[in-house]
Amino acid sequence: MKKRIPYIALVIMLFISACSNDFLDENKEEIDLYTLNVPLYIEQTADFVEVSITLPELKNKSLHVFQYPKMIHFDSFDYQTDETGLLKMKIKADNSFYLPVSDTPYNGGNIVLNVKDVGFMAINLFFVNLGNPNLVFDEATFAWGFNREEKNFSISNTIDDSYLVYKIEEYPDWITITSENAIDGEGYAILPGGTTSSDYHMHVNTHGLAPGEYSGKISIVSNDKAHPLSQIEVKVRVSDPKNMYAIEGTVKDCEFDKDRNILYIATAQPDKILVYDTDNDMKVNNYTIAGNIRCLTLSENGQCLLVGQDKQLSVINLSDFSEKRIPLDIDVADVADGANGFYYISSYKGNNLNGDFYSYEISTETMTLSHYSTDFVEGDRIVKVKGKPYLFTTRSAVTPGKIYCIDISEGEPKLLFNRHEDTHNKLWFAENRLFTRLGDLYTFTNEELSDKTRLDNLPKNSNQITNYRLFLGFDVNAQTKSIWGSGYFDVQQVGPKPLVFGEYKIIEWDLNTLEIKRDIEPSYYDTTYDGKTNEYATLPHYIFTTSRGEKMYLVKNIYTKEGFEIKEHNNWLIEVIDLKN
Amino acid sequence: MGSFFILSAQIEKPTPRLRFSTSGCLGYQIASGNSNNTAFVNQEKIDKFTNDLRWTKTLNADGYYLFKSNWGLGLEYLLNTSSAKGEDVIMAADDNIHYLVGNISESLYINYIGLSACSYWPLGIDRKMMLLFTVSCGYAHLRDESKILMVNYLYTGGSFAANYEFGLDYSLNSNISLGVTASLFSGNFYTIKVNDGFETKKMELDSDTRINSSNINLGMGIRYYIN
Repeated sequence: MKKRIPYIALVIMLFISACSNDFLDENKEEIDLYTLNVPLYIEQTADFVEVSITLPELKNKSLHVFQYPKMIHFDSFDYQTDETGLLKMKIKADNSFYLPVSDTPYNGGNIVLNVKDVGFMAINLFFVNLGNPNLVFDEATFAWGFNREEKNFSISNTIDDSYLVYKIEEYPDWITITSENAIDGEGYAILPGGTTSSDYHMHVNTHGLAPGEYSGKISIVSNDKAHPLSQIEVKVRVSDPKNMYAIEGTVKDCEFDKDRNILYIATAQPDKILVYDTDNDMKVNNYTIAGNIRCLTLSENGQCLLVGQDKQLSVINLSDFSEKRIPLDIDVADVADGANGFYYISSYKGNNLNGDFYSYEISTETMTLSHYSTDFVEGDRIVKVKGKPYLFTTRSAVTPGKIYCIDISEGEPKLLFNRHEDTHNKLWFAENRLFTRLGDLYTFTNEELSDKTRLDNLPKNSNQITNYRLFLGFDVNAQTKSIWGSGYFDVQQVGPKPLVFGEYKIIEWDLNTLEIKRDIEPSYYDTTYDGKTNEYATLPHYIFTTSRGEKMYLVKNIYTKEGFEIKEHNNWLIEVIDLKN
Repeated sequence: MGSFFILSAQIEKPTPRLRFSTSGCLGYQIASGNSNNTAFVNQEKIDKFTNDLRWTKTLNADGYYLFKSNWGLGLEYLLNTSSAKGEDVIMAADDNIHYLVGNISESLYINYIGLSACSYWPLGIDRKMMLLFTVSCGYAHLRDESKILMVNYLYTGGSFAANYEFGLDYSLNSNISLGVTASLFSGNFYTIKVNDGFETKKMELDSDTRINSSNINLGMGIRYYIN
């Protein structure tokens, strides 16, 4: 009997444990319930759609659906988050109830997930019927050359009875996108169908990127069922800093000797003449010159530089850099070498005053002021017709502007004619062509330049380049038969395509047909200004091409925009552009 | 005469005084509950669940004092159990907006003890087989442990019940026999208590909602006879 006691005890214990009510204590266990603060929106669909939620604190967790709205269907009740906490579920909302097209979501209840070892997580679910929107861009490709100007695109929804819900999900990190009306940076934007559209502004910042071409896509996810992913292509070029040469001081004027491919730059603070041998790896010599430099002119034979200064004209012999100083009573605004024993000089009398026009005879060292009584000549800006005894001048402070044509064949300037023309106080003359700052072009034949009686018809071309204006520089290259202009355009101008206000471009026209051959956007300059290292837009004040036309030299200054106003900062550089590509 | 007596003793196996038996049975509830509950969405899982629950296992133990006039009196105990589980059962929530998804399970225990009367008939020349018919009446106790989604319930109740059994024993020796049985257990519970761990409620059931635990069983077991 004693041997049977353990067996009897075991049976009794099993019976007692079988009758235990401990399992009811599970009902008393507290359950943790978390509510996701981001609701889930879903449309009625025939097929399952994948919805994803990232739950960073629930990595590699098993989840089981515990509760869901009756209109919802799951492809499975068991899910798993990945190592990033990403939860993907396939669900659909049936059409067992009528939901009108509206941008107001209908609160459909909660999905409650039982997260293993964590608790319950509720996701508020909203049903929406947004119709069948159609996402349309106004432009799907954008390219920045070296330009960093703002570019814009707009998104619209062409289907009236619908709402487009979209999000700019991804874009290259060298672009920033801003919008005033339809993006909050992270969430979705909603756009009713019809006439409204959302405008986006793109800014490029390639600071720190290696030189080269970059392309990328702006990805927009939306509820456009035909195109749930729409993309805008963007491209940008980053300039090579090896082609940039910083210039110390403030550039006052430049000259380029096309016969020798030598670039001369006059700077202030320090007052220097910089001489760049462009055929010899930009080897530079600098020459210090005393006095405030106002202008720089290369003599017609290319052997001297005429440096106009306050109360002084310096003539620098380029063979040995010897300097001859000519004291004057005036501040020199501009000077031209007449190649006839005379220098022709204009005076600087202030920003809003016309300068006077003088002739200076080298041999006698006498200055003669142009008189009102006979052959009166004005002109702050003077250009010489190379190889011909003519000057063109223009005045700056009196409107309308005038172009003066001056015969210097006998040394003393004689006015051939003057014409009211709005020149905006700057002239260039090269290869029988006279350019004004406003982009007017006057083309002369050899016969006209050989016969002064035929000059006064001032043959103005009516052509495309007059559509661009406020030019900073012109260059003519006979070898490549090109006109190069660095221009500053405003929004009223019409060119090959509408240009944005304040956009600078360098354009090449065919010398004869004046058809545009190409345009080049000035590159940004990665430099430090006012303690801030960044990419800065540059303004190409001077433009030159080498005699063979294979390279271009731009003398530029950086600027920033304050509203529509351009503010230049004293940070000059030379950019070398290879024109063979 | 003496030899006749001896012969007679060999032929007439003495009638045992006491009979103890224990059997294990497989059974099937003959009463079908109403499984068409509109609260459940995936009805096929509920059907399977209720069907699983109808298959029962019974442990039966009884003891009789046998009179010579082919009948006996005794006590009978039986434990009838059944269980079922269902996964991802979908049911409507009370708010009429949501569905709930989860597992359900149920374990049913019926303990029965009753007075029993039996009638027996030895069979064969050597009387190695014995036919029995028993009728017992007594008390049945219901214990139903169920889990619906996240909530556990304990249903308990008591009721008058009866068990009818028809069996055949085959004697292995003078004390031990093997037996097979077919039985019918009949019991209905009209009053139950529901305990959810927080409180216990008494529920009166009507003829539609009563718990009918009647089942038929087939089993086999071992019998111990004491002469």
